[in-house]
Amino acid sequence: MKKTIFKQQSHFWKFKRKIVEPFQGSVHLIPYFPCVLRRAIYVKSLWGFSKRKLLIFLVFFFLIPSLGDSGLFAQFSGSFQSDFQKYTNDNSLIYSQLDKKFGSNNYLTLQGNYKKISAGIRLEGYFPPLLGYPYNLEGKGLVNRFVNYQAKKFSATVGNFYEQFGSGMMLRLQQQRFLGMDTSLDGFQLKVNPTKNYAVKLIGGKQRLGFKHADGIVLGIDNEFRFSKDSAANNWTGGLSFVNKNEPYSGILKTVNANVWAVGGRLNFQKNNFSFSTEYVSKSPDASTANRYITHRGSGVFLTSNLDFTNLSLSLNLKRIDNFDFRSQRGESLNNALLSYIPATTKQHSYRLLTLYPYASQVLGEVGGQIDVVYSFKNNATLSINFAALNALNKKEIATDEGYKSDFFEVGKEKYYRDLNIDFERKWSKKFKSNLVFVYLNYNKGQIQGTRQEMVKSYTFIFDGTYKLPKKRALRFELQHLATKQDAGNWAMSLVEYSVSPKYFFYISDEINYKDFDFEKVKHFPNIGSTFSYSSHRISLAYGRQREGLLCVGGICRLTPAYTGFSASLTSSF
Amino acid sequence: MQIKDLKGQTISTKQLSEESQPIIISFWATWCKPCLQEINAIAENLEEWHKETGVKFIAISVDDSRSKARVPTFINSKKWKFNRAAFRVYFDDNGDFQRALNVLNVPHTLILDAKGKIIYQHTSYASGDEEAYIEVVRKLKK
Repeated sequence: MKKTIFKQQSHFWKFKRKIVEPFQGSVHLIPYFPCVLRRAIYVKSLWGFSKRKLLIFLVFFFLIPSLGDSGLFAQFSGSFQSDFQKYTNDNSLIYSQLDKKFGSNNYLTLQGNYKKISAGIRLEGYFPPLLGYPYNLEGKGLVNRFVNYQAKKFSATVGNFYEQFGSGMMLRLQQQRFLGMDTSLDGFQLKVNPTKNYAVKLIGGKQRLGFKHADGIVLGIDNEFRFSKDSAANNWTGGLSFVNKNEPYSGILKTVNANVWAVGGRLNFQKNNFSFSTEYVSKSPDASTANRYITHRGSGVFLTSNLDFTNLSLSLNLKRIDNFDFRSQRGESLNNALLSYIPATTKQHSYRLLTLYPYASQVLGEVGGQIDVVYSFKNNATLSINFAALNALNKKEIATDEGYKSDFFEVGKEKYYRDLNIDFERKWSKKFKSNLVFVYLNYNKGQIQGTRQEMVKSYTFIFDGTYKLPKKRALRFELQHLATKQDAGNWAMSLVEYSVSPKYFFYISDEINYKDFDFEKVKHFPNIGSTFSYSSHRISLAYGRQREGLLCVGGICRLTPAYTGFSASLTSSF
Repeated sequence: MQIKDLKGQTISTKQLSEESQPIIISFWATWCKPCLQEINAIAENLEEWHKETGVKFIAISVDDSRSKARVPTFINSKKWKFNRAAFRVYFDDNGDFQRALNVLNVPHTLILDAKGKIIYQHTSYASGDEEAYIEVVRKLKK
């Protein structure tokens, strides 16, 4: 059963290839399998564990209110999400290998607060996980619980929490439900603001990994400073952070360190229409599965700048990442137990055909950036141009444990990604609005998706129009075409959406894949669906055939395999 | 709960419930097309609505460091009337505020009454939804 989560990072794909290729005698290939074998064990032990904890929380939730002045919580809230898919037989290998011909992901969050205390729990259940979600999620359990005390100058949390230091390169504990990713830390978090110009955060604990914890103990401190007065025209802020991971090691590799630390600094400046921010992070030798047990130090530089005029906005991003895969469990892969978050410095495309070739941060080494130019015309029109370029680092392999050397200012010859996209948007009248998009892409599919080495060059045209109808109705349509001689060839897509505000939404679409104008071999991927929204509740139903694709959030991705079937989703906040 | 303004300064979300005027809060991201349509639609009407009902609009960006730099670019290029009193934009980088309010997807819109109580919520956006928002605010004023 091909049911796994893929993080679009070069090292993972290399491993994936390696597993298929003749075994090359590396010790570190083995850690990939235990997570599958141990699956059953986690679930059993954690459900027993969670029931007890759940009971404590329920007591907490229902007992405390009776002690309160009003007898009720000041606020009690929560959310529920349930996603269900039923797969139908499309004569594919994936379908024939599925144990169960359906999947169901469920999440229930409950939160409450009383005076200065707030608390919450989250239960998750996967019966089994939807296609494309990680293996280690099969089962159910209490995955998140916390108690927080909030005072004027400090906040203290015990239990699961999320956190980000600076831009997140060194530490970002995040939840991306869409990707099946949750890297919350289970431990303590203390935030103190002793003065207006200084804030400090202290954190410690173990990361969530499926239904258990990762092996390493994480400790971190982040300091944020403000150097300017409220009235100053020049606004300077900065920060210093430190993160330490301690993960016992009893193996035979001498390159492995139980203790790995990372340190980073950042500086931001803002004045009128100009802003600039930069961050540098560095990591001590961290031999892990991801980097194939080398001791090369990790580093990352990220730089952002904006300049705005009346009708023109410019923005620039630059970054250089060198061996920066930071996890609290060295044998883990994909999005598991990740501490670091390396943002992708490319435009996040939302049109369907452009999601065929999305870029993902190459955390083992990349250098590049992007530039945005946005010009607004007087007649309700906007022109946006974005250009992104990413290359390999210039790595010179050496025979020591360090693995390689790379000069900071040298750019490697191998191209990873080029993207030139132009988007022209115009509001023609109160009723009609359109977007015209052109994209030229060079995509190193071998590097980014780990398939056969191939540079995919594609040209895409998109037309997107929205027509407002009377009585809060609207019609939107998209026509997309992607032309390429490589990979699977050309794609075209059409989509029609009809909405009746604020409750109903319907769509029908078809994506086709063809090569050399051989229309007998055209593959269709039709879809039809509807959404009903009422207040903060939403039900969506869809039926159709999905192509294989990468779903990405901020440069972290997961692969969704192709499938045919029915899907239903319910989200509700209360 | 803390969020940041465009200058990177930290603001407590408690302040949002102390506005003493109704507010519309919308969670959005630069990569989310319906979110942009929604903010555009609100921005076009906001001046009029603000005069009529005193309503304020707060757009909370959930963009992370990948797309955060695009936020000021959008505000400038979309000509969102950036009247500090009536229309403000904040960052919720790592989703803390989003989680506290049980927001699962963007766009997600909430309406708070003058006392800071949530009286209406809506997820997703279809052209014309903004009319429903102002209707809720108008009812408050009656």
